[in-house]
Amino acid sequence: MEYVLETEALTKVYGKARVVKEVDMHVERGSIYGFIGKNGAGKTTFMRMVAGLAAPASGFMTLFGSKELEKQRVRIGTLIESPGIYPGMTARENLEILRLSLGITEKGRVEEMLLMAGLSDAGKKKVKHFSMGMKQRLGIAIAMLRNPDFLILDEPINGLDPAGIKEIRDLLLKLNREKQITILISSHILGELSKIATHYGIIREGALIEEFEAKELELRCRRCQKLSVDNTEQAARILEEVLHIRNFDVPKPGTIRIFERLEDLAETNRVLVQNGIALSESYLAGQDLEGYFMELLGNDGNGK
Amino acid sequence: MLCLFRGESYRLKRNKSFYICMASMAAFILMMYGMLLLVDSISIGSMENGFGGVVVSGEMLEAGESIWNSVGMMDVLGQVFSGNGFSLILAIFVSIFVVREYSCGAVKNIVGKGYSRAVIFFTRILTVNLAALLLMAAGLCVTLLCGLIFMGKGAFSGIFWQNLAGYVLAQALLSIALATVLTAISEAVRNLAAGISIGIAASVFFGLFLNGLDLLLAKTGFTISRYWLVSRSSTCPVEGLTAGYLGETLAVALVWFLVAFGLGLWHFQKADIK
Repeated sequence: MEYVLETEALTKVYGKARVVKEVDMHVERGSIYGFIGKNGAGKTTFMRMVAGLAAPASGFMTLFGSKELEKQRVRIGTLIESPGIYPGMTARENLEILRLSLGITEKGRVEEMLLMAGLSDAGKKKVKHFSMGMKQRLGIAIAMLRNPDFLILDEPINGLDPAGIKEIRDLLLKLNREKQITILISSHILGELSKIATHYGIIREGALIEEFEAKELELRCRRCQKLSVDNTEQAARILEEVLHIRNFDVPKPGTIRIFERLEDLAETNRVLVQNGIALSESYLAGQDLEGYFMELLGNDGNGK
Repeated sequence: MLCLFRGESYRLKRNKSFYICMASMAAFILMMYGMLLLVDSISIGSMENGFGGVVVSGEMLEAGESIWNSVGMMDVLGQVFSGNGFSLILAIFVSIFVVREYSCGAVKNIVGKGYSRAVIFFTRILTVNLAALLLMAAGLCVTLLCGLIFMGKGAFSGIFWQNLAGYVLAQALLSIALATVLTAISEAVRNLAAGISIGIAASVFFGLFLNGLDLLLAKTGFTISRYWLVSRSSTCPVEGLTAGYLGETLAVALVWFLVAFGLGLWHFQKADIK
């Protein structure tokens, strides 16, 4: 498995507060990694460390398998918090400053990025007169200017209207599919993230509590009848031989999840009890994405 | 580093505040010439003494002589660069130019993109110094042009060019060092209001404070203000600059440049970019 970003016990301390606590993150090449957490959880601070804007207090990081971070950071494009743009200049001028600073010799690159971001017609309009969506798109154009292999985007769809969100989403999917750009993206808008992310990382109070693939998430959120039993093996045998139920799993001893015949829970309960199984719990489970993340983040989370 | 410098130079070219500061320099100089013209008119009797709130007294008024007989081109240049006008404008410009990188977040586009922080900071110092020299050059050009108009070609005769070369060299060295100090201050505070306030305090008020210290240390014979950039700029002789004075000026400017550069670089390397 090839990782674009790997961190080991990455920690950031401000004064006495540990805002990022020993995070071990693994971002696979070609993936879109959704980074989810409440406000103040440490997402932006973590991304700043990866982007080289903040120094970690401890821990290690590799980029593209290398510890020579400064050398590898030329392959990264970033949009951290808000786009870094000069408000008194036009979009073209903002990109031109960066093109010159980064030593990009192709002059056409600026026009290419303006076209990609849908800002070719912005003309002489200064950035301070741009809408939020236009500024975000310019921020992505700036991040893309050097044709990066890895994009780090911190809440790029904040403040956008639905049309703007769709544009950014389509753009990111296109970049990932056509150019195989790996993307690390944080967002509060869980529904939107679920449409593009292939992997997820959940951060709570500075600690990365879970990392999993999107496929795994679907499984975790599936509707099922959840049973707590005293004898898992016997209960499983009864389900197969008596009720002819095959679609179930045993996530842990004493717990069974049944994914079929959800319209007749009572019958399942009756058969199990009649066959000597002590049933302490039986209920219909399964969550939507938001519910699942709220549970992980703590019930006072603020995802949307 | 050359690429970074090109980018910074492009930014400087597109920076409105740079041209506003240049225009302010020019306006300040024109105002000064305007004042001298008024004084001259009063001296030769073509205007009433007290006109426009300007009162002229002394030997010149009694003799009815033109002021241009006693005020030379170098004297005017001395007023332009030795007063607090130029250092004030420089303090304001440097704060705006440096702090804007942080307030608009553009610094994030460069830091962590393959350049070491030392190279980024050094390039910024180079650009700010270039701007300081351009502001100085603009002030010099306006002063000389106005001098040609009001004083005639005679003002440029004799050893004028020799005096000019020495004076401009001394002021350029001091301006470069002052620009570096102001850059380090702005980089450390990263806030426009604080940067401008501290910059102005450093340019204007710190010299006054040192003059006070001079009085306290008078018995020791040590003049501490001699080693502060703005104070040295104010007291720089307009004529007869010796090699020894220039050498001492170079040393003072170099020390301040290195201290400011060192402290500014240390802060820039350690501080997080938010």
